[in-house]
Formats: sequence, C-alpha cells, structure tokens
Amino acid sequence: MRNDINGSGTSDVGGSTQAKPSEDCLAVQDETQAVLTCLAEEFGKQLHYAHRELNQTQELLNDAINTLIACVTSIHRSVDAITGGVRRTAAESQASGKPTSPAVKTVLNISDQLEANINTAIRTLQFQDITTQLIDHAIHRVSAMNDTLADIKSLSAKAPVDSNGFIDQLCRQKESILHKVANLDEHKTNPVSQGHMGTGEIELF
Amino acid sequence: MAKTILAVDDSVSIRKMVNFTLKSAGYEVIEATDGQEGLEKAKSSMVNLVLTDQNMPRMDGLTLIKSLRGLPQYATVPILMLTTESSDAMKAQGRAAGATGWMVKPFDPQKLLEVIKKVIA
Repeated sequence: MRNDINGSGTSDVGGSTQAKPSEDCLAVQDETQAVLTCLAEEFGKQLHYAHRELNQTQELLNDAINTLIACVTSIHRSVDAITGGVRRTAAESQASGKPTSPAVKTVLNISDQLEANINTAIRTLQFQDITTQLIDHAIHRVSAMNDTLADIKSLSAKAPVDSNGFIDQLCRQKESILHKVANLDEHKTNPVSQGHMGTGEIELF
Repeated sequence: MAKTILAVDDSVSIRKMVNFTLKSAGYEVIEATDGQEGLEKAKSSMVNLVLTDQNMPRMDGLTLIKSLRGLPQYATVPILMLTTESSDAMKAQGRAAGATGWMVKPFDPQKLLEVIKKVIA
C-alpha cells in the first residue's frame, strides 16, 4: 500500500514518518516480483509435467515386470515338467551302468542352457526394483523443487509496503529455499550405485 | 523337513523372484513387505534364515537385524542383507548390527542358493 497523504514524498505508516520509495526502487520491486512469479509459475509447470512423466514411467515398469516375471517362472515350470522325466531316466540309466542315449544328452544340455538363461533373466528382471528406487529419488527431488517454487510464488504474491518490506520478503524467500535444500540434502545419497545388471557382490562376515 | 526362510522386501517383484528361486530349491518361504512386518512374522514363526532388504518403509533392514538379534531365538540365525546399497560404510553398519552377510542386488539365483546353503548348514 503506497500512500502519500501529505504530498511531501513521505508517508505516514503506523504513526511514524517513512521515506517514500523512489519510483526506480518501486519499479525494481515490481519487476523482481514479476520475475519471481513468472519463474515460479513456468518452472513449476515443467516440474509438474516431469513429475507426471516419472510416475507414468513407474506405472509402465510395474505393469511390465509383473508380466515378465509370470512368463519367466511359467517357462521354468514348463521346462522342469518336460525335462524332469528325462533327468530321472538318465539318472536311472547311469545308476544301472547303462550309457545315456545321445537324444537324452541333447535334451539335458538344452535344459541346462534354459536353466542358465532363466537365471540370467531373473537377475536382469531385478532392473525394475533398482530403477524404481532411482525414479523415486528423482520424484522426491522434483517434488521438493516444485514446493520451493510454490513458496516463492506465494511469497511474491504479497506486495510489500516499502523497500524494507520487500527486502524482508526476499529474505524469507531465500530462507524457504535454503530450508528446502537442507531437507533435500538429507536424501542426497543415491541408494543405487549400479551401472549395469551384472550380479552384485557377495560378502559373508 | 524343509527349511524356512523369511524374505523381507518392499518390492513385490523382488519378493516374487526370491520366492520363486527359494521354493524351486525346496525351501519354505515366508514373505514380509517391510521390517516391521518381518519382525512380527519372525516372532510368530521360527525361521531358519532371514533375507532382508535395507531401504524399506516403517522399519529398515538394519533396524530389523538389530531387533532380531535382541531376541534369544534369533541370536544365531543367519541373517543376510540383500540390497542395492554397496558402500563400505553401510556394510560395516550391517556387520555391526549382526548381519551374517551382505549381498548386493541384482542377485543371481544360483549364487543366492549357494550362499544360503553355506550359511544355513
């Protein structure tokens, strides 16, 4: 609220006389508020879209993984069912000293290869768990940035009465940003260090 | 009699794959979705081994391990961590908490079974 009741370049605010901000100062204030509001709105929109796309990626991953796991485990059971009898026959032949027929050996080789491939598939399918953690981490950051921009926009909406009020407003915006960044820093450590889907290390204590 | 393993992970897909791997090898499997549920199930059913993730809601893996080691019946039961975390600092925390071993995801089914066979014996 800017008023110049006595036309002297000063205004009475709360019973005390304060110097009226110059026109240049008011222009800087207005433009700064406009920039901050524009920044908050436009970047907030982009972050909102990014958040939505990350969520969409999560949903697609969840959908795909359930189907893939069901297929792999079903294939494994089918292979087991087919080769189970062959393995028993081969074992009985060996136990009785009879040679294993070439056809049986071929089936057993194929079964071993399938088993190895299924193991690889099960290891690789864990990509969903690992990427989900990365995406969650990214969503957390995007949400925090979005909240910060919303704070900036909200603080910028209130027009300060004078320069001191404007500086105070900027300080509060800065504090809000620093507070959000501090919260984000607590979750800065990426829980995922993997850059490939090779078997993770094992250590027995 | 089949040995029973408690598998604790908030990821449905990991629990499915662990369950599949262990059951294929003849183990009984009890699942839990986080450390809190894992602790409750461990108290209500004695298991031969616990396999747990680290980063979970309500109660994380390290807290679960410490809680289990505080129970007399779980003082010597093997507890393996299965997690994406691989830093030396985290492993040290795991060892201090009472973990038997630390496995970094992704796990290979064959190797998982070998480790379990080794520690559960």
